Amino acid sequence: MNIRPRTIIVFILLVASLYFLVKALSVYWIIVFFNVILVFITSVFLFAFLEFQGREKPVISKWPTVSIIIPNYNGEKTLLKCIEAVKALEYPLKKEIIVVDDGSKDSSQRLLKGVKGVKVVLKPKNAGKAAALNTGISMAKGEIIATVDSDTFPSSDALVKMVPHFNDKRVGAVTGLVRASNTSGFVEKVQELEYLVAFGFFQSVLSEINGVFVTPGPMSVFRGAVLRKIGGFDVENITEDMEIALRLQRNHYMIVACPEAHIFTQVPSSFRHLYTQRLRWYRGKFVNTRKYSDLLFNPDYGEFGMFSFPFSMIVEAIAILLLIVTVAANIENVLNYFGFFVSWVGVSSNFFGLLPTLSGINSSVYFYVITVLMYSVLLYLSHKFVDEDISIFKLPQIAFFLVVYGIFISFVYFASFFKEINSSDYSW
Amino acid sequence: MVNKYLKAFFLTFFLLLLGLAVTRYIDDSRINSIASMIEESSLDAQSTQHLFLYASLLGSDKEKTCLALGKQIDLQTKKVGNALSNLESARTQNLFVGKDLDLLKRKYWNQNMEFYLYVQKLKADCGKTGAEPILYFFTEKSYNPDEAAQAKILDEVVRECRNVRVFAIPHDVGIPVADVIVSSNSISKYPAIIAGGEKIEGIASKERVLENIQCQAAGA
Repeated sequence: MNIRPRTIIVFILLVASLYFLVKALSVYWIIVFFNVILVFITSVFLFAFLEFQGREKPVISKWPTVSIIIPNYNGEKTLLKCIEAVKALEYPLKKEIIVVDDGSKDSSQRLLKGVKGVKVVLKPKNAGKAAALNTGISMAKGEIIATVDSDTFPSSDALVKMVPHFNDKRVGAVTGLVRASNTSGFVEKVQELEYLVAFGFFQSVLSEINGVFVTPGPMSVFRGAVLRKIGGFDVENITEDMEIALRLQRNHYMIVACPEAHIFTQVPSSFRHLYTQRLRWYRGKFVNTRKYSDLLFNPDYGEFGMFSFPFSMIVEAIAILLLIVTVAANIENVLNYFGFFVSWVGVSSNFFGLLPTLSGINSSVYFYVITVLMYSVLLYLSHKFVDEDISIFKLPQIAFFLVVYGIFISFVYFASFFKEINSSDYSW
Repeated sequence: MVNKYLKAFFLTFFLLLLGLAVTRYIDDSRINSIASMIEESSLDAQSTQHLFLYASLLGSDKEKTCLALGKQIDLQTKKVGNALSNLESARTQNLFVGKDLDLLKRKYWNQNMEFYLYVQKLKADCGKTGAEPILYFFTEKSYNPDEAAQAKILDEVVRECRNVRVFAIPHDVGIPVADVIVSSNSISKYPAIIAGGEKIEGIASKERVLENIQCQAAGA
């Protein structure tokens, strides 16, 4: 990896400033402070959730026409199943289904030749998902445009649950509850929990305060006229689903969450694949935050500008800082250990003497326990969206999700931040 | 109607206070337990002082007195050893770290010095002692990797020799007796140990330490 000088400088500056902060305040008080912020944010969401219980389901007077665009790139394994699921979507009017193959190198294009009842566009060269979606938008005739990833299988009633929200003229987009379709492996099971919390609980509460800042790529539904008015998807952006949502917000359109609509999508099966995916997501978030920084703490955008958008950045900053604080707090210990290592090797051949003594757990862990307990409540409430109970068999992934997964995500945020500063190439 | 941000603020503030109260209670319990340990050692030290006083004023049966003193000192030095590791743990485990910890450490070192002197006095008065003392000088105010290694070597010696007692004293915190011993032995390099009457400056291997003491193997 080519590391630019500015990346090294930023890293050193951050570690150095946090080192002095840690020396002044102690790392444990900094951890307490971070946990207090997380508790506050979580509390706001909990109280918002309680305020908006019993919301009435929207009723539609006239069903609009719908076009469904499926962009595909090397999705031969799931494409046909996705098309079947989209065809099976219940809707009172005939749906227009457009599959845009974005220059696939696998057998997708051959498979599409045998598919009936859909319009197929075979692009000779790969130009990216956003470009493929824009191609579909240019052909679409529907008043409502749904975008569905080729590894996604919406439940049959998803569309009829999402479309009625467009009865409100202010609504520019509607999102569903994204869930993992593959849940056999442990990594997949953990993501299932994460998606329930993120797309179930958090997205629903954000929707109530018009604070949604991402229209999930697996499936989102847009008002066609609005999509065209704001210029379609940004082909230069690696997270076009977030970028379009921010553009909608900037243009004062509402984004509504419909957790009753379940959207099943393939999730990474390994931590390596998950890491690559999240690197892209979080780098996209940094890029989009810079692009839409004018919305941050801007009262013109209500609770979106004053709370949900800025605080999502604050949570990321905490994730990055927590890792850097841990590095800064332990630099001396690492250097001291290196010194001890050299001394020990000079006088003893006993390998076990090199093993560092485990120090006890600091009392600040109790504040972390409070954060974990609050998140446990969110996890419980998130299961209500899918009418599922938390069974004892889910305990391993729940424990992992609550205690360990945050460390992994913090690390990915940390890596994303520095890759973005380094202007590293993107990988999928 | 109170808005959600205000409710969240109050809940967060309440949880912060609760968290601080719980951690304060746990930290104080930890300190109090160490303080009790050190206080108990102080009482044991008083008992030892009484025995020495009795021996010098009223003791006619020297053998019995020496036996009682030997047992007493042996018991004390075992207890005192645990306090230091608990103090070091408290420093990393406690969120609230105040002057209490420093005072307890100071008390611990003074006790260590006291017990070392009792062992030497027992040797002088009774001609023998069950314990083989090693006086170990280290630097408290800064990190020295050689001292970290030396401490581990001495732990190994203690594990191998059931009669060895290590008295760890910092040379840089102004303990008067320690200053006198350092200057009278012309110690200038640390870590430094005095074992079997001999001074060893700089890091000493286990074999070097064992050469200077009479080790009674553990389990023998």
